[in-house]
Amino acid sequence: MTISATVTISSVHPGPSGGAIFSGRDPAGTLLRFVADRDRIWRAPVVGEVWSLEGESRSHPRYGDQVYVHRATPVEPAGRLIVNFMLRHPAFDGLGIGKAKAARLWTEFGPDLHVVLSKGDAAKLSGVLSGDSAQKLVDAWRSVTEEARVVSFLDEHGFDLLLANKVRAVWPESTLAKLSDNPYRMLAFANWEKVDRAARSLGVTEHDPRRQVAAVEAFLYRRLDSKHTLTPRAMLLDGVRHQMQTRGLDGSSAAVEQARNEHAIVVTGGGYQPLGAAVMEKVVAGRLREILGGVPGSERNLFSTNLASITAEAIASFEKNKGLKLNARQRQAVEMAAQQPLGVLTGGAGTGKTAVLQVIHRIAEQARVSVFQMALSGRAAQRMREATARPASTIAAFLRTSERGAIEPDSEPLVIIDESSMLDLPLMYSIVRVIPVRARLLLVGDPYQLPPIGFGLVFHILAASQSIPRVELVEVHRQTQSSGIPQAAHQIRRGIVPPLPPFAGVHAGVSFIEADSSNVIEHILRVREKWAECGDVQILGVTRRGASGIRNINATLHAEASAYKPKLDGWEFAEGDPIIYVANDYQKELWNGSLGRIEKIVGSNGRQSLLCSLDGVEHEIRAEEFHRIELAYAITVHKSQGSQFNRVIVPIFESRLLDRTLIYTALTRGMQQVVFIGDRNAFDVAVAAPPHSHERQVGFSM
Amino acid sequence: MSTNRLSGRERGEQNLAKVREYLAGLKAANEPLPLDDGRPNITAISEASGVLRNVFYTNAGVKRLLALFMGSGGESTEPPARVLHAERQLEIKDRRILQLEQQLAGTKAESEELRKRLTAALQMLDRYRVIEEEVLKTGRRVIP
Repeated sequence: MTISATVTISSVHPGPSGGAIFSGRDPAGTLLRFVADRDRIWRAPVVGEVWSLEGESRSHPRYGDQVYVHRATPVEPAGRLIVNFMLRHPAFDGLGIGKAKAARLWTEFGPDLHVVLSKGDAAKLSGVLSGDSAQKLVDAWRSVTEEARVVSFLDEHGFDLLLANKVRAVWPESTLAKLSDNPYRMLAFANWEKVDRAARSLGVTEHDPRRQVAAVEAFLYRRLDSKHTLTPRAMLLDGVRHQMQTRGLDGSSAAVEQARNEHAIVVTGGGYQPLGAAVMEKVVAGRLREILGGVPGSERNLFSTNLASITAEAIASFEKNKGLKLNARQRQAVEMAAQQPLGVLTGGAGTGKTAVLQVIHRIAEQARVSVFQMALSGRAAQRMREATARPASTIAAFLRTSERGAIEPDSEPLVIIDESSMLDLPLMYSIVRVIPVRARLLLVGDPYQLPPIGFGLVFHILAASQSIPRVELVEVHRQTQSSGIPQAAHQIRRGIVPPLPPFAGVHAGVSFIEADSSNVIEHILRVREKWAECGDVQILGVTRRGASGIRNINATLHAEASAYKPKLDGWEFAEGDPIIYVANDYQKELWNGSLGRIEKIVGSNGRQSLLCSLDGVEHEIRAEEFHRIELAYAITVHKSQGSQFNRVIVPIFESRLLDRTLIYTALTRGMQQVVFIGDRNAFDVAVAAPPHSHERQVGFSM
Repeated sequence: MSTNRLSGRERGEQNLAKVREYLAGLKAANEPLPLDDGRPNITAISEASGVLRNVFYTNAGVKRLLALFMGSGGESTEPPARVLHAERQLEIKDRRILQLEQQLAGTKAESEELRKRLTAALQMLDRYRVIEEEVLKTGRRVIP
């Protein structure tokens, strides 16, 4: 049953990760209980506030009738409710307004109190309050009631109400006045169509300069959504014309000129850039040049003397301990890291990057140089930690450490970033901004793997730049040459479609099963059955949705595997299900990408929790964390970066995400055997076509 | 300027001058200091000099002057160099205290102002942090 009610909030229990459970009384005095998910309410209500709520009333076995909120907006209190509001809302604490004064205010002004407060007429209140208190009351009232007006503005113009918090945080003073002054301010959070509609309804004319500037920015943002940070002039003019729905290009030229004059966009040799992206690219390039050029007075080698012998010693010691011999490229890589303040180390999976890192760690330790090594995903960081037997963190954790001021600004650490091909422009910007001025930077990655998910491109450009010290490792160590995986990977890197034989059960190598999306699941089941005794099998999907998407595969395999197993009430989880953690939890040391299995479901009556092994460690996952795990019979290729599995199944169908880098990444996750299932033509076309990352137009260069 | 607006130090000096003038008058007229049972009759001296009674108990300079007048047999109201030096030192210290008090008041006001500015700056920093997060997330410009 759907319920709409306006209630005065009487108790609130905020959720640990947003959302809230709260109660309130409607005007008839009926107490109602509400459950609001974090994507339904942008903040927890405060006791004393009045909220307008809509939702579905359902009966809970323990708590009785509850309204599951669909829509929630705070309401500006009126009438006698103002008195209650002032007495209970924390914004009025410390103003010296107790019951007696509040009652006097009501006696003095009655329903006009709302008018006096809304007009901010502190002088009128001076009969009851001192001048200072009256002003404070007026200020507090303005602050708490503006939110309701902002929400009403958002609602009226069809914006997502969850934006209220952001809008207020960005424009804390005179929010509504600012939005009315230039409604295109909302372009920071919403799409052009919605913002333009709102602006036009507020009286902005077709050729208003505010509209012109916004149309130019909006088109550049559209390009940013397609990962490009640079747009050629002709494309921009055409895009702006479409955006503004004008006929000729004259209007577009005028708009671009206006945007340029207002410094809303940046013009470079190759085209036009949105301001934010242009600044980030400039900062990244500037910092990298600084690092490369060295800071005067700083010793840029890891060693001040005898570098050659110490490096040779570290290599010899490593080779002796590990029983391995570094090849010439690996030696070059070690020397580059020791001598150069900025270096790029590239190489495909299994080419021995880890061995290089191990030697670099030894050298750094001898030189008493601190090392921060990190990777984007938790799983890649964990792999780095295990492979080097040294601490490694996610980039997010490193940035948080830096925010706490735990990295000495005067220090000269060596910063090593693995899987650097995954770094988008904002992340690279965040990193270079916090690393110390005299830091050394070693970027490790494989430019043939997936490009970053976000906009911009940095590592791929550095890896191809003549002005950056770089070493490419080419000799494959990890996978046996006989598996056939390295050969196929090598061909795919060069855009050559490798010969892939049909699947023939358990063997080493790469094979292809042609299938259409309607029977892909059957083929997956068949391969899994053949590999039943092999263990460590992982399905890597290109997309989440669709017949061959990971959601469908997970749902099917879960249904099949969990038929007779204990299940979690209300969730698609059962004992034995493979799972992936999809958030970072620094206390539990669980990362976005941590893989594991549900070992046992414990508890009952809506108080269940899961005992899971994740990254080899047992964890209890409670109800509030259930949304942090997903089934992992299949995971996306993106999430698999940094991990390897003995055997891999990859459903392949046409998709805008499918390109050579994605196929290469999926293929190189397998160590023994890889089976592609799907559309062979889509596979061949994707391998032969230039990778998506090559099509990215960016302003960054070195 | 009325007496009410004088500072404590200025009032003290004024009282000292009045007593000195009164004692010099006694000496010039060759009159004895009014005594009560061998000790200065403060009530009579207060009335005659126009200086409030309590000053004779609280103002160290006035007490010293009376003692000197008694000790000198009424011959001189000028204190010896040693006492003058001590008085001078006291005055310097009084001035220094006053100066420091004024500095402290100024520093307090400044600190309050700085605290206000710091609060405003921190609020602004919070705001810019939110803006930066948004720009990093979306690449979009936030118009201030």
